[in-house]
Amino acid sequence: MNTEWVRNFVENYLDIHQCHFIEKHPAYLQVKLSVDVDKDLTNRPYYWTFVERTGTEPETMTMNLIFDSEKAPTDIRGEEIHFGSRRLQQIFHSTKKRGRIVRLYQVPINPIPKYRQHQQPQIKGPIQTLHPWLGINYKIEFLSDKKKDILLSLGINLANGEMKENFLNHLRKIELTPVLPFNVSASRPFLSVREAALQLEEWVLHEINKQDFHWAIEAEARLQEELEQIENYYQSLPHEKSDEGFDEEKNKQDNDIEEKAVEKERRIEEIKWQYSPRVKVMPINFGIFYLNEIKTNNVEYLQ
Amino acid sequence: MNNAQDKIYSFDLGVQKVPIYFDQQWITDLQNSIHHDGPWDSWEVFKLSHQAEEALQVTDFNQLQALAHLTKVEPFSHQIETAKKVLNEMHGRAILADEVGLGKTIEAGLILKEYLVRGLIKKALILVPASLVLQWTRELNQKFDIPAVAQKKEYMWDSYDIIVASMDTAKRPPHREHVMNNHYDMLIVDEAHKLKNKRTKNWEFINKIKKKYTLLLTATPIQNDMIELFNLVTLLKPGQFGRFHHFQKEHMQDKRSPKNKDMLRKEIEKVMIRNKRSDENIEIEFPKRIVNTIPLELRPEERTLYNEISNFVRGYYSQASGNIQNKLALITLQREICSSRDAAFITLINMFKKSGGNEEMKNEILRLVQIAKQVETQSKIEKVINLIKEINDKVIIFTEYRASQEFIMSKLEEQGIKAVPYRGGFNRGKKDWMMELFQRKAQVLVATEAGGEGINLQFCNHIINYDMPWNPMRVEQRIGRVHRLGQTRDVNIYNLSTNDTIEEHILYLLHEKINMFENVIGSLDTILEKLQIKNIEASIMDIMVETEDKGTVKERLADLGSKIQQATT
Repeated sequence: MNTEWVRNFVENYLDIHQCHFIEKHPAYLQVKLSVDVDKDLTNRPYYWTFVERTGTEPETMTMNLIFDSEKAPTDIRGEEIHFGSRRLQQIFHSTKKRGRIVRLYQVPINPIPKYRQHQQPQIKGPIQTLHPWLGINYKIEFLSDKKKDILLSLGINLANGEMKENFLNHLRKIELTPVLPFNVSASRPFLSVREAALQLEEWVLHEINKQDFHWAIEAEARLQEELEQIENYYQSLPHEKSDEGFDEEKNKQDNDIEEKAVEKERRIEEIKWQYSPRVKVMPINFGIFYLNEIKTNNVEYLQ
Repeated sequence: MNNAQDKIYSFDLGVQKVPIYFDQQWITDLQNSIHHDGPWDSWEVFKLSHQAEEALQVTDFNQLQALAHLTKVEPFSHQIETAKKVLNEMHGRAILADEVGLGKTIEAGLILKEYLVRGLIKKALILVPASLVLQWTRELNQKFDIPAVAQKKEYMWDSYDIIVASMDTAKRPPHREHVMNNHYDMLIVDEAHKLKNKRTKNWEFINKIKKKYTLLLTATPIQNDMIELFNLVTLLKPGQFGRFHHFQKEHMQDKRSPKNKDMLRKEIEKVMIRNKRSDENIEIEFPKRIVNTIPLELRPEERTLYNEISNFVRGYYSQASGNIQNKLALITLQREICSSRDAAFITLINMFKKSGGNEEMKNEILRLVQIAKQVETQSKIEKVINLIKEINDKVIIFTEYRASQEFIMSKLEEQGIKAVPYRGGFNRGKKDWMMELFQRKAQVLVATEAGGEGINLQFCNHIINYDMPWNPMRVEQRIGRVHRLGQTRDVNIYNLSTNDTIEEHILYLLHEKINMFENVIGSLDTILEKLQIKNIEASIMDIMVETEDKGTVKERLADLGSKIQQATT
């Protein structure tokens, strides 16, 4: 991810969270943080507890974020921010926390203009019906001692069970609002969230089945090979308690043998932990979306 | 590893089943939000959050992802290759055994970062010698943006994920319990040659730690000793070389020498990476070390003092056979007189105070003090001052003694040459301040300490050895401060060789026999240990005292030198 990507992302983040830009320079940003962002980035929970308890007027911090230290003026002191930097990780974390669950409505194609809504709220246009969709962005991790991810965005119509891939891409193309628009009604869901989740899981499983599973076969082979090595190794050490020997000596030997048995179990645990192939499916974020009918060709939208 | 709430499916591969865990928490969360009509997050942040995940997505099993996350360090290609190999072929358990100066720390940091980026590591433990804890912590933070902390308090074991600690602390109670109770996704051990013996506490300790990935770092060519290698590998992958007696039969001729070198090498390469400076893929160009020997004649008064003190030392050294304390003081005196009159002076005074009722010795010492007072100018400092003026660039002068350091400082001041001192006893802040002064304002740094961590002097490429340590380790440490990664110019080393003194012999041993100054020798401490030379100073002293004529001294030192050299190759 290059400098430009990082800058756009961070500027976007700060902007969305109502931070105040004091200076926007091509190489850096000087910004006074909003309360939410300050809480997420400055790591001063005691201060914020204090402010909330005492009702003090909060004073948020100002930051100089430098994206391109070579092009920044030399008298600007601040922190460099780049892909992989701690600050960006914090920002990612913050977006993850604050962008998890949404409920949104599609803005109707020919809405009554805002000024008329205000003046003549009783005007009746054609009422549009929106359908409830459950949209979810999945991250699927393929894990052994190595790892690979795929991202999958799915949507399911809760009124009729219809499903869509690349759902987020579709959502990006339309206009969405958090409040129910005027002159719009929403149809009632037919599927419960849990029922929809089952359908989505089916789809994800199908998607996983399409993947090449060589990585898992190889990981399993490594696991077996090393388990065998361990078995051989511990076989070569004394591993059965004998009835011979004097008490003290025998005790010591028995202890050693027990200790080795514990060690062997630990090794086996470690190796399974290291190699065992597995798949994890986690949502990145999800929500309820009330949408117009989705058509592949948008003829009706163009009227 | 997985949530209890996860729903588990599995994918059937015929011979094996791969479990698929579905997070179910989101269903409850969504139901709650619907039920309470919120709270709902913003659509803009929703999109941003997905964008972040896209950027963080690990798209490939095998390619290094970490490189995109690094801006403050640009790994060399052999370091990248090493990281790839550990990731893809060794599956995260490896011995990193590069020669000194090729950047094992960078390799380990890169591998750690890679696994962190992939989300395969949360908890990591890095065990290093106490003197390197801060340096490691700093490097991981500054170069790799890895939030590592130096372990200081007991509570830290459980409240931080990435901890750098000294092995000696970690293995002792109460810390030991904490380490044993944790599962570490990665364990890194620096100076791992300390784990070569299976019967030591260190080995047992490392063996018991619960760990997934493991990196053992060592610069010592352990492949020379089969049993040591076997023990290290057993920590990583027990059974990798088969059973021990099987290993002995297959691979070993005797304790030291391997039987079938090619076959063994192949086995070793499965668990160990050793990059050498001479390898073709090494892009690092190390600057040359240019050694200048500067001969020096003592003035008559200095000569008298030197001879008198040497006779004194020789006389009492054989008498003091049992008394180690006295022996050490005598060795020190002999070494000091090679450095400066001022250094020897202090030891003479101390010996006088401690000599108790020994009137003969007291008188002897008083006589030596009188002779010392006769010395007005010292030929060494004059030579050095001329040399500094000639060099006309930044210079580091190393001496073993504080008295010499102060003497040198005062003489340089007389000449109007700007100099700053540097000692082991300075605290961190003062050390940094002195470095800064040296870099910005002064021409000369006069240092008594070469070891210690974090001294970066790459901006300087002239070293004067005002006196010569008798221990090759200390010589290498001195040069290593300057001749290291980041040095772009050739390094000039000036050795002062005073004719017809012990120093001349020492220089002969270090320079001509061990070739100390031109070659980088890995881990001399281990080599000396292997040769069972416990105290090289004493070994040299014995030679000096026991041998009368110059020729024999040279011969015996040559002998010692070849022993050391053999052990390094």
